[in-house]
Amino acid sequence: MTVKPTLDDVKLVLSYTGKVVIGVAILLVIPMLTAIAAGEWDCLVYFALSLGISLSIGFLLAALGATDRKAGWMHGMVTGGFSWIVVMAVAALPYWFSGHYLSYLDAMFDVMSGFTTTGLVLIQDLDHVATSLNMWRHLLTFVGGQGVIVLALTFLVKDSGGGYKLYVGEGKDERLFPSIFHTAKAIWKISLAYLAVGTLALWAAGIAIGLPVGDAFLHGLWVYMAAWSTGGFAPMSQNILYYHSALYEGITVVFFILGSFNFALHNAVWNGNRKEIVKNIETASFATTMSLLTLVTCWGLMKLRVYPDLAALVRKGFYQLASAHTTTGFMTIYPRQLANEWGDLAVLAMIVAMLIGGSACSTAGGFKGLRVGIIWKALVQETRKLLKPGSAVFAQRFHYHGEKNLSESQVRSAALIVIMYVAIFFFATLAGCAAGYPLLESAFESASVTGNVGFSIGVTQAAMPSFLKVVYIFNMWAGRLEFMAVLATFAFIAAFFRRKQA
Amino acid sequence: MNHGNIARRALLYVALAFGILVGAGAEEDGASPARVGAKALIADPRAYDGREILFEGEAIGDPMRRGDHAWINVLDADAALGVYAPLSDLDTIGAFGSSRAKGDIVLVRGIFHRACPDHGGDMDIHATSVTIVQPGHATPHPVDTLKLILVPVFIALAAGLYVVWRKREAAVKKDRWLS
Amino acid sequence: MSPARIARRRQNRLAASGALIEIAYVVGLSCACCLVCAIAWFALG
Repeated sequence: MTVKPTLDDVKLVLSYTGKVVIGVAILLVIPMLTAIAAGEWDCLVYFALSLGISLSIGFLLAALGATDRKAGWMHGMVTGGFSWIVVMAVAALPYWFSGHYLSYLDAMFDVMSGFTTTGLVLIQDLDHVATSLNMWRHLLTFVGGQGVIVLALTFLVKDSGGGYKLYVGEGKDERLFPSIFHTAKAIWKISLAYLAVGTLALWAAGIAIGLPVGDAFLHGLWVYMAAWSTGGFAPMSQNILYYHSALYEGITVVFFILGSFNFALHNAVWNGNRKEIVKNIETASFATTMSLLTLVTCWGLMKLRVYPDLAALVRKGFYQLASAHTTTGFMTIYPRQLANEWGDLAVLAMIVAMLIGGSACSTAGGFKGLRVGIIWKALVQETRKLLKPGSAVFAQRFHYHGEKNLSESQVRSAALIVIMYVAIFFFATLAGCAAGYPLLESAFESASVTGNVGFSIGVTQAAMPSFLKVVYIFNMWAGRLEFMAVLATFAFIAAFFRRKQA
Repeated sequence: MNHGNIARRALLYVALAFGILVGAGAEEDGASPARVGAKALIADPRAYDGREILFEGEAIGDPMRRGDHAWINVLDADAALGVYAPLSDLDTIGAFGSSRAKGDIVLVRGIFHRACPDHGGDMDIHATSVTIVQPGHATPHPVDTLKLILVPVFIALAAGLYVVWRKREAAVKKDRWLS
Repeated sequence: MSPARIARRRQNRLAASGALIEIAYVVGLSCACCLVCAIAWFALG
């Protein structure tokens, strides 16, 4: 692709974007079927209307972009960025029609929160939301976790070269198999298998804790989708506290930690490479930081005597921290309790956990364990060089699906992305302070948004300033796509409108 | 009337007034605990921890039976709180809030816990009595006729644009084939 | 039974045991963290 994008380049982006929109529009069939089953005729009507409007937009974009040119890297990246914005606007239609949102911006906020598997909500009156609307909410987070692009790839994109470039544009770069379609299908297979197991487990647990069979199933399905996608949505306003059950909480912990693992890891272990789960740098990094941060959180909570016994310390302290570190966002306490009761040390541990995040190529957000591991190894290598001057430079190794050498470019790439995360984290913290919120609370909410976590300390409300909502939407989007797609999109737009060089 | 009588009457009135005040005061302290909302409870839980309170809100979701007790979640203007009550107390609740209905508005009287030791640190209320203040009712959601009319309009538009799209894809491929 | 079917069955069994191993790992990690909580509780309580 030349320096200034041509009309053909724009067309390619529009064409792929159109296909992604079509893919998301087709998903609307699921809440429509739910509405029929639940007898929610008013919902069926507005879902059908949303379907008509979304398909129209999708077909229009695809028609405008019709071209048989092959996609380059830039197209994949820009589509990744641009399509998520278009999908955000389109998928908000059912939310807006439902009447549960005070503004279209709020509806778009919740869509971006769902797709990026963040989990912050601006929805009003969640406890009285229709079954089909709850289905749409949780479906968005489940699909967003896999990747909207992965969805489109599975069904709509036929050219594999372009397919891979789209896949990378969405922030994944793990090639499970040489063929990108094979990779996309493998991701779906793993997700659907766990979907069956997890929903069954939560369904049974729901019945055991006293929910009626039908609701136990729906809650089980939805909570599973939010757990696996590390999204953090729940069908009731109290989030997981609604269930008042250690059993329910325990099952969610298993599935949200699993969901935070790299798909390549699942694939490896499911194909017989069992040792990988222990030797892999990401799981090792995660296990280390989880243990350390659990200790710090407990220390902070014990200092202030927040919880009366060990069981409470585990069910509140460990649960919230694990939920934060995997960037899930499930809560068994009220947001303001974090601000009022937990104390600065525990809150700080939570902020660090949220920023570090989960594994690469997973549904989790944050810096990612792989980068933390790589940067750590690089620091170890630098220290060894300093301590043994003059001797031969030896390679630093790490285990990631086999023994790998630590290369300069890997370290550079990891460090740059971490720097960008930190930069937008500061930017959103600044925005929060500018809006009048106290520093620690702004920082907490910013970490939650940037790492796609979904924990709230109370800042995220429908009443918060619109500019802050926009900043948070930007951070959720940029964080989820890991910057490449976002930078590419802005560069593309800027280059397109730049005047031709003389 | 002589001074003696006036004095006696004055004393009588004073005693009466005193008696009324003391009586009223006694009634307040003995019978009515403070009525608190969720916002206040969450903002300053230590102030109410272990104390008897009155909490009013809508019963939502499903009651969850655990042995001879059950959990109900009660939603007021700001947040929903978990209420742990003996099964017998919950017999009177008929409607629970959902998309189809507004639940019974209940007044819960019970002990508030900031971090209940019996329930893994949950913020909850152990109810001693639950009374219905206002029964719930069904909330119908009628179909929006404007939206209903627009559905076929947009489906038709989408169908038309689909045709346009397929035609353009075919045209583009033909160009390449011919060029 | 056709070789393809045998291969698919073996693949599914492998996948299932892989899933069990992952779940076991996660449960193990959670227990380790609970132990950390317990240590904190008794050391600082």
